[in-house]
Amino acid sequence: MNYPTTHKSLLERVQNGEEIAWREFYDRYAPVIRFVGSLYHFNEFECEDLVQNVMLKFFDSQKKFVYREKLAKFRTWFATVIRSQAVDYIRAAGRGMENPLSEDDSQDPFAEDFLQEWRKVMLEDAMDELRVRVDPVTFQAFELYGMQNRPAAEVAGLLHLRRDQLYVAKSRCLKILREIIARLNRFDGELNLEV
Amino acid sequence: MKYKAGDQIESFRLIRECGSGTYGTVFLAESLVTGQRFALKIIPENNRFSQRELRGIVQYMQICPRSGLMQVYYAGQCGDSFYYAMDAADSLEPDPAADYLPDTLENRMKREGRIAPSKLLEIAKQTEDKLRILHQKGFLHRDIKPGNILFINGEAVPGDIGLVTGAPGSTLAGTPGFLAPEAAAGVRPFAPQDDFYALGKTLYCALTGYPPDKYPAFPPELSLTDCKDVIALYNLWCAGECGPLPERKHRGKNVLAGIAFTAAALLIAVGLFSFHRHIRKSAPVPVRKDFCSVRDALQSAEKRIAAHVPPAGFVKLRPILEKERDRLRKLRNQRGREAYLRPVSQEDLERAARDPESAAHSAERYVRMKRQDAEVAAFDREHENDPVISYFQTADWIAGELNRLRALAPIPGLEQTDFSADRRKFREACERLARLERQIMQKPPGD
Repeated sequence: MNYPTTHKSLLERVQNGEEIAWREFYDRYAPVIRFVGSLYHFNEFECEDLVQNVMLKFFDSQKKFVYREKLAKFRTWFATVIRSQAVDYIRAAGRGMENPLSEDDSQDPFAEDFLQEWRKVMLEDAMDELRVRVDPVTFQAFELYGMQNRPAAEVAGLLHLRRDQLYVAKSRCLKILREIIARLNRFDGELNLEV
Repeated sequence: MKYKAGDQIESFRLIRECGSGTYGTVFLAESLVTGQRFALKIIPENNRFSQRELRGIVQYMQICPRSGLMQVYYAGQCGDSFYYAMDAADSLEPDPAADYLPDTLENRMKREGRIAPSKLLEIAKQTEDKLRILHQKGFLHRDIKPGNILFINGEAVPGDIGLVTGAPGSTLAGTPGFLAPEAAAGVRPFAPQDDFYALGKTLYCALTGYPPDKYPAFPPELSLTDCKDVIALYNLWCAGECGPLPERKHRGKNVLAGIAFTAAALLIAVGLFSFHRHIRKSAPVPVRKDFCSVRDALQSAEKRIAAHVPPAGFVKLRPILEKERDRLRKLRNQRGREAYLRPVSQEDLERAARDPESAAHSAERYVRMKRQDAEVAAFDREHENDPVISYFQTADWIAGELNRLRALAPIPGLEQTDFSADRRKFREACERLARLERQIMQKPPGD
């Protein structure tokens, strides 16, 4: 399998049936599925059902599924699975088909919203990659000072760093993060991620 | 045989199942003789881990009485299983007679969410004390995680002692996410600091509510002021240290303290005036541009060593490098301390009074050197995860290594050079070695 996301290894581990990878996969993608459910006006319980259905679908198909980069991105494939499961769910529940589903099933009415939510997942991916690429103190300096805008003195004191070291950590992490994001954008032109 | 609540094993009646896993099932049980409650772990004998656990428990039973650790009272056999009775955790339910939920850190987290930092520090202290007792007695826990921190009579103790072992160089065991990377990668056997690493990750999970793999990400909504002590503690332990948290230095708490600190720094700077030459010699000189050539040289040196040591006796170089790095780091820190923190003598003060201009110049130099040192530290930190380890250690090591290698294979034109002292010659030697290496690599085997 050759998923072209930063979480390729996660997906590979999922495909190998690793329990922890499944939990990671679930934690990462369940919010996206719930979000799509909310777009279809599902209530909380229906959203949970949708999460289960999509996960089961993925679990069933992941052994047979072979990703071909030229045919589709993982995002597109995943969106299709969620959408088809949502449609099945609505049909099974015998709801009216007036809205939000269009007559033409090939058109996804929530493509833009889904993309927006996917950007969050990709940014999280980028942060995860950054986390493993730098040492913990550098990451903490960047996250606490650079991302969460906590006072420099407080962060420096906590991590036993001087201010200049804090600034160096921030700029170094920003540089790496920009690289990661540029790579993600190169692969998926529609993402347009920004730091 | 599979046991269930209500069954009887010798003089114990199983009340309810508390949990089960790869290694066995734990029940809350009651002694039919005394009425006392215990946690009873039942392990099927055909389980491939059962013999290992039995050995560990037998050893553990010899050290646990009166040690403050969780007690194992009795071990026995019943049918095709063996079992042991140990302290039962308190119940989180208000009425333990009606219902029982073991009071573990994991169950507290499920019930309360994040644990308050003050509570967590107390839990950390209690668990740390117990772990140190265990380590002092030559044992390792190997499975510290939130689910295995039990509260017995309100006090935190490391529970689930199924993986406890007294064997030196123990094999890998534990829970992913809580395993130290070096132990998980099999670089070295499980060691006491790995228990503290797992405890650090446990604290992290309990404080942030995140899974261990998220370390060191920190939730934006938590206050740093409240959490700083816990963060410092888990950072220390997750960095592979197993010592207690050093006392915090509260510098500049008031203006007087600030003035005193500044004055002390100035005095040290003035005092260093007479020793600046010495400092220049001992302080590392950043020549970071050469990093790539050093990396090449290291690789070349590795190959050279491999070429001169018979394959059967070839030792893995990485542990040697790491050992060397640690030695050099210690040496450098020691030198730095000696140079910078030398007490100011009367003579220094008199000299400074005689020549204030030079003293100011010296202070300026001191600041510059501190900055230079910071640069080196930043560079080291940046390359901390680099496979070629950090720069100066590498350079120093290679220089020494080149000196040693010369005894094995003379480098034409550089027979008398001390590579440790002459950086230019050192680079030259690196290049020559690389060339030599290429020539050797191009030669057909047996030539």
